[in-house]
Amino acid sequence: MNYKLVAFLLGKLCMTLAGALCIPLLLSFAYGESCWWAFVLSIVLSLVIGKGLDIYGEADAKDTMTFREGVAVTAGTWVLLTWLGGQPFYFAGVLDQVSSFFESISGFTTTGSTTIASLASCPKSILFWRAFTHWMGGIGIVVWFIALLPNLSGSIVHAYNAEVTGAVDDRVLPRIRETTIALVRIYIVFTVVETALLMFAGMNLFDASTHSFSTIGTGGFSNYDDSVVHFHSVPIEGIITLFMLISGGNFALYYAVWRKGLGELWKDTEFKTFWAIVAVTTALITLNLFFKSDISMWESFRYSMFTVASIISTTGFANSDFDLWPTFSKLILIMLMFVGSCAGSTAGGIKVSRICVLWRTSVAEIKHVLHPNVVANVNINGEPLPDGIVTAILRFFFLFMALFALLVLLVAMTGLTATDAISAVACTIGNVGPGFGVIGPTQTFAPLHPFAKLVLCVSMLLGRLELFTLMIMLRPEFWRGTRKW
Amino acid sequence: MAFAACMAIPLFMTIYIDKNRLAEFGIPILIALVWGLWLSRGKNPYRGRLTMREGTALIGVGFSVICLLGTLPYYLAGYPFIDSLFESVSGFTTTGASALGYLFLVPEELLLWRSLSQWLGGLGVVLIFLTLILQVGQHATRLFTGELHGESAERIMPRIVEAIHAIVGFYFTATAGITVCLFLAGMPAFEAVNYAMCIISTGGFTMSNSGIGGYHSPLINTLVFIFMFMSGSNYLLCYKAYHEGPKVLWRDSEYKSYVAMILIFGFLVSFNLWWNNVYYSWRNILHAFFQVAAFASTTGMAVDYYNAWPEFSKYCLLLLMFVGGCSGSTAGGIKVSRITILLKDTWEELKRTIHPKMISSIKMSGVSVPTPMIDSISRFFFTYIVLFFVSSCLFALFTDFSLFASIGAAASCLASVGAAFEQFADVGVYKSLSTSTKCVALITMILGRLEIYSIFVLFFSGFWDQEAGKFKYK
Repeated sequence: MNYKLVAFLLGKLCMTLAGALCIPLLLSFAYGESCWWAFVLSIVLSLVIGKGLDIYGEADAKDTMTFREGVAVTAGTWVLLTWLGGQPFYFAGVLDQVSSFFESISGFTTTGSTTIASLASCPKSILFWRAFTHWMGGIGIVVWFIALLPNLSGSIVHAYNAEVTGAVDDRVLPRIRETTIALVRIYIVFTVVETALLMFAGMNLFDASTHSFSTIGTGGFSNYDDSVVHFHSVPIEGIITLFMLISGGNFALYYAVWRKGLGELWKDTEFKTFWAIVAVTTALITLNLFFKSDISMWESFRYSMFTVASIISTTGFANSDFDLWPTFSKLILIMLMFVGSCAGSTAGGIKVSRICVLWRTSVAEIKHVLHPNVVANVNINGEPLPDGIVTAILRFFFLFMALFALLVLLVAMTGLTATDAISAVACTIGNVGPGFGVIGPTQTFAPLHPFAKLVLCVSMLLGRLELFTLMIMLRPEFWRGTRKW
Repeated sequence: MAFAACMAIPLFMTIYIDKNRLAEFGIPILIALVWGLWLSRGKNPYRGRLTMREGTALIGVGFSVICLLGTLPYYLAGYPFIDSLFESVSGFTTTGASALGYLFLVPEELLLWRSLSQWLGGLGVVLIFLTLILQVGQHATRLFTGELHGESAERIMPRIVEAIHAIVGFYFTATAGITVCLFLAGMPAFEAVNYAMCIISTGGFTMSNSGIGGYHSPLINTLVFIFMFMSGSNYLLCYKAYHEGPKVLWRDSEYKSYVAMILIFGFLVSFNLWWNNVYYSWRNILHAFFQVAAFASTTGMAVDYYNAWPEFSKYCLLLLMFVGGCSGSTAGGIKVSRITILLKDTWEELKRTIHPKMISSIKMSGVSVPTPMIDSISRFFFTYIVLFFVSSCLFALFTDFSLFASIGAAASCLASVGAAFEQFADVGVYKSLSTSTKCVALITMILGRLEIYSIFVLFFSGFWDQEAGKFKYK
């Protein structure tokens, strides 16, 4: 492992973060808030650590980054930068050290679980920074790095691969920088359009932009304790629903649509399945709400549509307290937390493409049991998938469930009820946000035991980096010297 | 036909107790006999050649018929049809959930029939397991029987016959042994016989609503713990250990994982109980281990009102339901061997991610496991989880109980445990639930018991197509 190269890149990333922290700093000056020094302290801390790593590290032109350095940079980024990104909360006196780390990881991983008990007393610059971490984390920290720092992009391919979500590897590596810039451009366009629409629907600029950051990053931090309920506005809920679902789609697919036209959407198996899941689950929950509680059909539809979009896109906004819904609806929501959205989106979860493959390969297995001589292929987008990828997806699913079970065990140790522990881990490993019970949509994660918070931090990181990036660091081979196989 | 003979046992008992109840068992026996004789008139032109579909049909249809016939004694005794069917399916799948309500109101011969149905169901399951080995072929046989070196296909068949003899022999011996032990420990003879049958089959029907805990005897509790533990392990392995010494056990990867699992979860739950001052001194450990073994072996008997235990312990028990016992036992669940293989291979997969060109494989009991087999185990795992989700949703929809109660009930029925949490922790709770809930439970139990695939293929379009998939094996 080339530690100097890793340190060099991490140092650069820390200084980039210092640059990002200047935005809320300026905002705190503009609003005349007293917490400006919290940002100054964080910037200084980031610069000092960044410079320290920079002095230790060095990058020769002949240094090529291997897979392991890529993983180390990505994992290091997501731990170190999230810790630094949480410091403003700590310095401003909003949260303690563990909670601020939790809040920041929740921001960067676009989870949206909050530990701030009362948002009303929070300075606006802090609220802005929360939403902004969603926006940065949504598309990926490394992606920004590639887009902003051209001279390093060649060596960072492996870090990019360790961060980008999804199973099917169709990224064109030599053109990584062009692709990344196109993605960032689409990302910014979506954000601007949503901000404009929200302002048109009656929000002020501050709320509109922060909610857009949260939506496009599929995060779920809101500026208000009662989330989107605060606005009591159907148009606002509609706009947010639409953009949550859009953010649940594959951004690379949108890039293809931009180049080749709308036909691309209907060729994509994952995209179609995603919308089918949304339609079916919305219908089920609407009917369940309509028959089991005394609200009208329209209200049932309004709440279920918004919540399904919010959960499947792993955003986590709420326009009603879904903790009070019937158990059937809650179970469907938990299922959606696991499924998540499309690969290459800003959302978390197992991803629709993987579920598609798992489903089809299991059906093929039944065919195979029936006719042992038949070779049944799994087709995605009309093309058969290689066995290696199917195997990897099958292992991924098992690892996901096994880690889920283990993390719930750890969280339940702190005395949470089983249901709460299950929902807490499901909504953090899926990067959703609120769960049920003590961490329901009207509650916060603040009362949890610090140990539970740390376990959930690990859960969020595992979910965002799709397990393997962090898990392979547990193997001793990872830390040994370079050996070619 | 064999089935009719088995039903004759409670018949004789009925005659002994109460002559008026003769019809309850007489009619089903007549039906079974006549039907069995009628079926066996048909000639068997393909002697010894069973296709995949016929084998599956045999299991699926045979199982349904047996469950239906088993329903009659309850039905004729005056229970509603759905309750009778539920009790019969719960018996033959060795689940142990009950829809009879208060058990002291149930006549003794019906209690015996309940236990007997579990015992028969258990025997059927081990035999099905051996048939499945036959289907999967040579490699699996080596894997599960622990034979290390390659053998030709001709030599496998006699070994399977030998294995069937061994397993059936073990099953009978163990039942007798458990009965004697429980009797000596102070249990009345009739109850000892019944409990022996329910424990060896990992079924878990009890003779009273308070179950084993009702005896308030640490000795009985300890004995039942040991027997449940044994019933959850591979019978073939137990048989070998009996003949070749206990060293065989420690060479078996699955057995080691099973013991490790019981120990780890036993201590976790004991610690949790002790921490929360649930019981006094050593009772924490005894009760914890009893309950852990009850859920891991999918027996589902209760030593105490475990539903009042701390949530952490209940979550541990929930996890154990998913894992279940060893393959080659009557236990349900995903099975320890499958989970062990998946855990080992996932750990290996991480290594493969670091060195993509490296070829590595994992070993169970010293035999390397081929990748296609691990893939199909992973698919089984996925199907299991999907079924679990669907079943939980349906439980939630029809009962409106809490989330934990619903997922507990689904996991419990799928793994043929029988006991679950909150409302489902009470023995006989299903009596008070709606018919649709009972139907969901029924279907879940059957799917879980027959390892899902053999039932699923019945509904698959190609199944009934005569021309497709002619595959013969010797």
